[in-house]
Amino acid sequence: MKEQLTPQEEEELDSMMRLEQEPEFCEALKQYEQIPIPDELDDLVRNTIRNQMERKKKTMKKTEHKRSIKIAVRTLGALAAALVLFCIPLNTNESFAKQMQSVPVLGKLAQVLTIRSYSYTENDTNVNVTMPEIAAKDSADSDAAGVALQSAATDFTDEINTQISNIVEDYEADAKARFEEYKESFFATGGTEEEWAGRTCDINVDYEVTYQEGSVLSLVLTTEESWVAVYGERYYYNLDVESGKYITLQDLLGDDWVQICNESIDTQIKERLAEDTEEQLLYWGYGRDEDEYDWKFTTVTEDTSFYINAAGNPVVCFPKYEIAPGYMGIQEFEIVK
Amino acid sequence: MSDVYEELTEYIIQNQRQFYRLAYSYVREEQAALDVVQNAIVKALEGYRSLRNRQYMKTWFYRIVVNESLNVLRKAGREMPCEEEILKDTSQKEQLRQDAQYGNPENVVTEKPEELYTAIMNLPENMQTVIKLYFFEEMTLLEISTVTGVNLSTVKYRLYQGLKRLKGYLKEGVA
Repeated sequence: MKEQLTPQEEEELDSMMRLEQEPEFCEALKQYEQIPIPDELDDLVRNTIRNQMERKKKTMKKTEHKRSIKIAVRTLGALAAALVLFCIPLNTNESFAKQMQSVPVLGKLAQVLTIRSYSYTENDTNVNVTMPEIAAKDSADSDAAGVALQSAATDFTDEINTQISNIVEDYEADAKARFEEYKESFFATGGTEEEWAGRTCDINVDYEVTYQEGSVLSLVLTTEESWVAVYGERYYYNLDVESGKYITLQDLLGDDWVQICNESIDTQIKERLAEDTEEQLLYWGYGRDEDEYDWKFTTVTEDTSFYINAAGNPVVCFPKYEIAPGYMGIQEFEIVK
Repeated sequence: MSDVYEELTEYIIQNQRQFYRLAYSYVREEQAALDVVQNAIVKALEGYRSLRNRQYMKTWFYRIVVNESLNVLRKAGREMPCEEEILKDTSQKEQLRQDAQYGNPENVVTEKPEELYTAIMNLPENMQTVIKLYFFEEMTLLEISTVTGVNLSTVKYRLYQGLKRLKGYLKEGVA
């Protein structure tokens, strides 16, 4: 059916559109304007906006980190062609009391050393950091060529370690600032010391080695704050310590990696939605969200995050809000080789 | 944080009451209307990049509010709290509408003026939206076309159809 007016109807419409002057319409408008506004509306609006802004800041930060990691790969990729050995200077921070700790050698070539593990309490904030540094097992090779390679390799691992160290330091500072801000507004809005008592913030940084085979290493660094669940953030590192290279999805899946990932993710989203009889799940642009907004999942890129699982398969991870609403959390998709 | 983003948050805070009323006029329940407003804000701020021109901020955000409201209605299906009331109401009104359309003036003039409001709220969704945006939110037809995502002539058509159905609720006929 074509929804179109004839010229006469157009004319009729013109006169009808002046109906707003009719007393009945004034009455209807009055009724509309009298819809009561609940007291909590303003708070709800402002809090929702505040939460969203905090999340946005996080996401922007994350993108910056990703970019600098990629630059590191480009610069070092050529240099690090045939490296075998590494030596990492210990990196200490004097401002806090820390326990130094080292973790047993994990594999034959690569090893992850936990060189900074510390906890302290300051202004109702408990900080617990377990931070990895990456190195390869020392070899007995000490001729001139060996030393030259070692220096290039150190650059590579230094980049990664500096990266990790910066992320952790920035995060710690931000998390503390956020908590301070919260505390400030708590008292500014009439909160009392008694009400505050016992409110603390745990800032945790930890990591997990998800895959370790030969010189290939995959690890995920996680940061979290206990007082707000939304700040869980992850950083992914997939490394070939021997060759001094970051491992890409292409390395794992071949030249068709984009297509393989996209098809698999699309299928997995549809499968998850098909099993979801209670409509708990929502992916932008899929199922009941179809046709609504223009930012559904379209494709993986070189910037898409992943880690390698125990089976050796890449697991593609999308941060909160990227392909689904925030309540869905981080979305993971194992891409079976 | 970009300027558009900040402008958008400012715009939402300033006009929150209007958004709430519009949402409420669809879902007719306080908690559901608050949910609509909250969801709309989350979606808008997460997708603010798709707002390419700040000129369209108003229609762009209204579109999200309307879509979210309709989503809630669709999800609630036949279980909306006031559904029974509406159904009862609708059957009576339907009779009156028919009378109005096929000329039965006696019935028409007995209508109380405030019932026009209820009549608007009981119109089919697409006519209802156009009428609410035109008369209550005072949008232009062009703006309504952007909000509803249909072309101008369809907006006119829906407005015409909607108003025709409301004719019976006005004491004086429309020339």
